Amino acid sequence: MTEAAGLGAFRHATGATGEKWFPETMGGGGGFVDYDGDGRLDLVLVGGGVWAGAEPPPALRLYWNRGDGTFEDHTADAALADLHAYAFGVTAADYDGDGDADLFVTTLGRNLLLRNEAGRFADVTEAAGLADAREWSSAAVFLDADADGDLDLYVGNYVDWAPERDRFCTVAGGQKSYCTPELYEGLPGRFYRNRGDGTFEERTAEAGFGGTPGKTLAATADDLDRDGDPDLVAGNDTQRDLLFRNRGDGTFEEVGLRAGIALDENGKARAGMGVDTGVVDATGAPTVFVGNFAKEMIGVYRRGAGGFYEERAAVSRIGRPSLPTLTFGLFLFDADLDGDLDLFAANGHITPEVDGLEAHITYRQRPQLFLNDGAGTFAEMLPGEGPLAQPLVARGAAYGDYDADGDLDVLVTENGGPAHLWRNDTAGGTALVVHLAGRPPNRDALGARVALWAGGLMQERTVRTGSSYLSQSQRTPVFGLGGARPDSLTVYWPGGGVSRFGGLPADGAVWIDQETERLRRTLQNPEAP
Amino acid sequence: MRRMLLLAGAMAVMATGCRQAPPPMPPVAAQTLGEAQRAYSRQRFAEALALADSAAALAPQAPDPLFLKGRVLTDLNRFDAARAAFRAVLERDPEYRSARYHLGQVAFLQANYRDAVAWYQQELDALGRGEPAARAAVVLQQGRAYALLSVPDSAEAAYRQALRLDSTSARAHAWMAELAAAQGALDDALTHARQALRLDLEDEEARYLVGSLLVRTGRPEAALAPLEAVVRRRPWHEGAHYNLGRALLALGHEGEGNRHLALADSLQTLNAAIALAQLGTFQYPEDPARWGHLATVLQQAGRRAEAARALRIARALRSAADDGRP
Repeated sequence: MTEAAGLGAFRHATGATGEKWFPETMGGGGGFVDYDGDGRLDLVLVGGGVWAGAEPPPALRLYWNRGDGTFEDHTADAALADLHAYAFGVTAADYDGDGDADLFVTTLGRNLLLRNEAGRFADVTEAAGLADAREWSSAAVFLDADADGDLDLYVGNYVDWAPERDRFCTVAGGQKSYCTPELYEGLPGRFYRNRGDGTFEERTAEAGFGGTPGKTLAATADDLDRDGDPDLVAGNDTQRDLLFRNRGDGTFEEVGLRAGIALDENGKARAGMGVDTGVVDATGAPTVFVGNFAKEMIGVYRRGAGGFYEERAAVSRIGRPSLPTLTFGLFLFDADLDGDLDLFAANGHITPEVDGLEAHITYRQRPQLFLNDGAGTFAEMLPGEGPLAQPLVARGAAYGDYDADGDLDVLVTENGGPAHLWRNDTAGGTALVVHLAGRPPNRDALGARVALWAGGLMQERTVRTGSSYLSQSQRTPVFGLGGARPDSLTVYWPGGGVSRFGGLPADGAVWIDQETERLRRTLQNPEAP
Repeated sequence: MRRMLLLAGAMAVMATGCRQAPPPMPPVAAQTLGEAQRAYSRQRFAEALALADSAAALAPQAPDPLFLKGRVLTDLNRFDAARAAFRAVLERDPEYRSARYHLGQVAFLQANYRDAVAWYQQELDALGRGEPAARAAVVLQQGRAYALLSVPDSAEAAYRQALRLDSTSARAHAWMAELAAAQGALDDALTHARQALRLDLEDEEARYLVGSLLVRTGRPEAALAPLEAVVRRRPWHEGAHYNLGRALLALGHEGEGNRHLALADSLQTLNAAIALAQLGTFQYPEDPARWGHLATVLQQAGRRAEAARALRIARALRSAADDGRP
């Protein structure tokens, strides 16, 4: 639907001039966010960047949802047209608790915190205390780490690169090609505590994030150990992946190696790209998914007793089909609304020269949709035509119901190329959309865990930012019902408190308020009550 | 380096089991070729190469010196030159046994698995229905290429054929185990891994496979013995440390388990440095400094035999450069 939706003119810029500088391979993200509070999901697309001397694109483009399935470029209206950076990722959250979605953009230098002021964005990075670090940042996650009600910020960093420190790499001893991250020092992530007054203080070391490996490309927050606070997973490129267990007081302990998600089953670090977590089977235990490089399986780790994770890539049937692909964007969503989480993988290699080297690994690669049978075993959907048959140089990926028809649509970005918006035309699916109004200042209820029982099975979603690669998916939980009638819904609120509800509609949307603990039915997909 | 080690078994079979009688050569050429082969078997690469060249000069129509030269050049990662040598062998004798196999090996080492499969098939066609041991070696390697091409059904068919031809092939069982594990059939994988180890008790990779599969199938106690044996003999084996750590943690031995996990983690850096150094020797095979660096990092990891080999190649390249040879 890209052209028809009005996104056809968008092109991500890499700035490539033949120097083959490392950042040119990494692409940019995008996402779904209702920036004007009209109840419809708008689109943000990271513009990328250029090198000195070239005309820079806006760091971020914003497309307003007209409500008829098309979008209108509101980049200038939103005061984003003159905002330039070599940008990578975008995350949306109401960090100041004023009721609208703010944006955080990761870049090659100074990141950007953009406060939403009635639909126009102001660069408040400096004032918010986030301007000191000037490094290559990738993933960003807002989370209430210390349960004080406001949203803290984790920023994943990649490598220590600058044009003057660029290395010369070749594929076969010939012309320069793009390097891989082994040649650069990794940069650890940073953690910023929200002071509650619109400013942040860096607490990286105090919160337990110091001294961990960098080269992070993706991160997500989820209460993986079910103790009521958000833990954090970081996917690292050629370094071990990280699992930060929240001690409950806003400080973290890195336990990835012990837990068993840090390395592959042979004890080797992989090239981690996108990450996501979710419950994909009847055990009710969360599973961590990590997209990896070509010749590496997508990592699949299910939590078990004692906090040990079981490696399930092969058993889940995702492993082998993911071997030829290089997966950047990756997320769980119920694509066919049958009541379980499916897996989407956005693929594409980093260097065009790979086409001549290994016949089975290509630069442009098909995206993959793995459909869940409900037991955590997946089958790749292999259509002969359509978006899933189209080879791309994909990077970012996100989901959101932009046309408010109840199923989840997909946004994919290409490196140095267009964005793709794919409308989901699942027929006959029923779904329950659960809007949460959190207690201010965490109005979005980030960190809330929602469990739905339907047809004797439990599904679960967590309201959060982050996940996938450099991108922002719809935060509102959508539960496919597969025709089953929902029995009960439980909300585990951030910071404590549990609400339980029955009498749910078999298809439609509900609104739940944390303060009043009341549930009411709403129209299909309003973002506001 | 592991990839090269995995090739070794098949190459040995082809080198010793499939060679036909050499064509008549002048005695002095045959003697020189014999010296070249002895130098090669001692990993004196520069000497082997020089002697093979001398033999070729003494018997310009004979394929054997060129065949040996191709093998030495393959060991030196000089793949284009190796390919040219093997092709020259076939020009002199289109029926020359195992030249096509080695052309396949060169393609394999350059990750050009489709070409490798095609060359192996040509070798199989040339072998016809005879020489089951040689056919088993070739078809096994063809299966490996299929596996790396992510064509598991063809890989499995090839491995099964290799086992029909040679039921004692430990490597075939080990690769069947890897294939089954990648497809999630962990119990089948364990059966094959155990069979591989039974057939070759010195195969540390098979022992590791047994141990790691026991961990993955929830039998940590049984995994301890094989994994402890592997880390004793190969202290640089990150996978063995990792799985041993996981097994120990599952059994409640926190301290010891964490120690092995930390070792696995610290080995990442060293093994990444080795991989990078190996890549350097692939990209710049004629640079003695690259081989010297590879020898150094291998030595740091305790992989002495591989370090010594890399050092011999570095020395050979230096002496060739001193002599003004290409």
